[in-house]
Amino acid sequence: MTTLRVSGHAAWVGDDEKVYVARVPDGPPLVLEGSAAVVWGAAVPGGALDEVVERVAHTTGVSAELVADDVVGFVDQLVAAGLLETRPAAPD
Amino acid sequence: MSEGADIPLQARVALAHAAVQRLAEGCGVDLLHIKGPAVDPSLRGRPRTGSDVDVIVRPSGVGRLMTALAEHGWRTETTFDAGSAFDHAANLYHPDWGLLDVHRHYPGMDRDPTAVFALLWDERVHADIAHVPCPVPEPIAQSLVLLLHAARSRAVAEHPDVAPNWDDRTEAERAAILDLADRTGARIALAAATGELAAYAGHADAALWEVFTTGGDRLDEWSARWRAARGTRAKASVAVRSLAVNRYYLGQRLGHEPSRPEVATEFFRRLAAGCRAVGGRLRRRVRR
Repeated sequence: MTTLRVSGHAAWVGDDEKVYVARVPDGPPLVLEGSAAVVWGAAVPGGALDEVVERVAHTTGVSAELVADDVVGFVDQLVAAGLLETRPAAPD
Repeated sequence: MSEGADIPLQARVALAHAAVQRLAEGCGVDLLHIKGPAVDPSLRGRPRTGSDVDVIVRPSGVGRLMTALAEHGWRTETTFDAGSAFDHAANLYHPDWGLLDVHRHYPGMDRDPTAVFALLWDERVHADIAHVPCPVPEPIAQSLVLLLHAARSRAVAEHPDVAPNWDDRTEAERAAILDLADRTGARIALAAATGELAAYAGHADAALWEVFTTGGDRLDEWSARWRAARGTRAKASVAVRSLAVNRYYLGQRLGHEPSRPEVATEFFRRLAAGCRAVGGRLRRRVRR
């Protein structure tokens, strides 16, 4: 099991509807709108991927099963962009 | 997810502060963020924040920072000795982040930049800018910085930063600002911001601030810079640079990189303009 957290190299401003985010110092700045901004907002507190999916489901009012694939796919993009990091979850 | 060509200015400036902070940390250089989103909200004279990033750098780290900035895509637009009467800041541009002013010292508290930076650094606090903790001067020092900036404007009394940082401050806070001005050698410059410059009439340091606050031409500015410069070497530097051509500004005016003949033509134009200005003043004195 891995957990997610915002990279120490990420900077961002915005709200639930639109987020401007960049990996600093080199960028480029990116625009996250609509559901992309919702996923970002759900990832900011960190935690397990399941928790991020649950937060998105709660915010959008759509079941976790329905949003899971899209959320996981977008989280992968954010990790690849260096904006989110994964780390092994602490053992119980 | 899309790359942001049309990011609002305020968001871009905030991200740029964060980018510069992480870059400075990467090359081990201390800097303080000033103005714009770095300012405590209660001290901002304008509801909207600035259009560029301003930082004061520990003088020993300026070279390292400028090298790192160049390596990360920042292009120098004006060098330290080409930008202003105070030779204090270099102006840089980055296609993603916009404009950045790197201050190697701050006008008004520039007699001992190393000591002044150390004092401001020791009392620093942090502002969260784009979720990146950025070191900033503590609020009293923020007020002094903003007031010294206002002192470089002609209508200083109407400058929006004066009221929240001086008029609306308590007696104790104004005393603290004065005390910091004393410790940073900024008492005369502060007087220019608070309308008390007349108390220092005739003082060499007051001359340049008088030009800014009362208005004056380039000859006034250069003669004030001459009077304010301390020592033969500093005065000689002012004299030489008064005629030097700023290639950046000339290029902006021409719309292209100036050629050597164009630089030479500009040099002689400046020399002739200077001679005319001096001649005009001498004639006015003779008529009196």
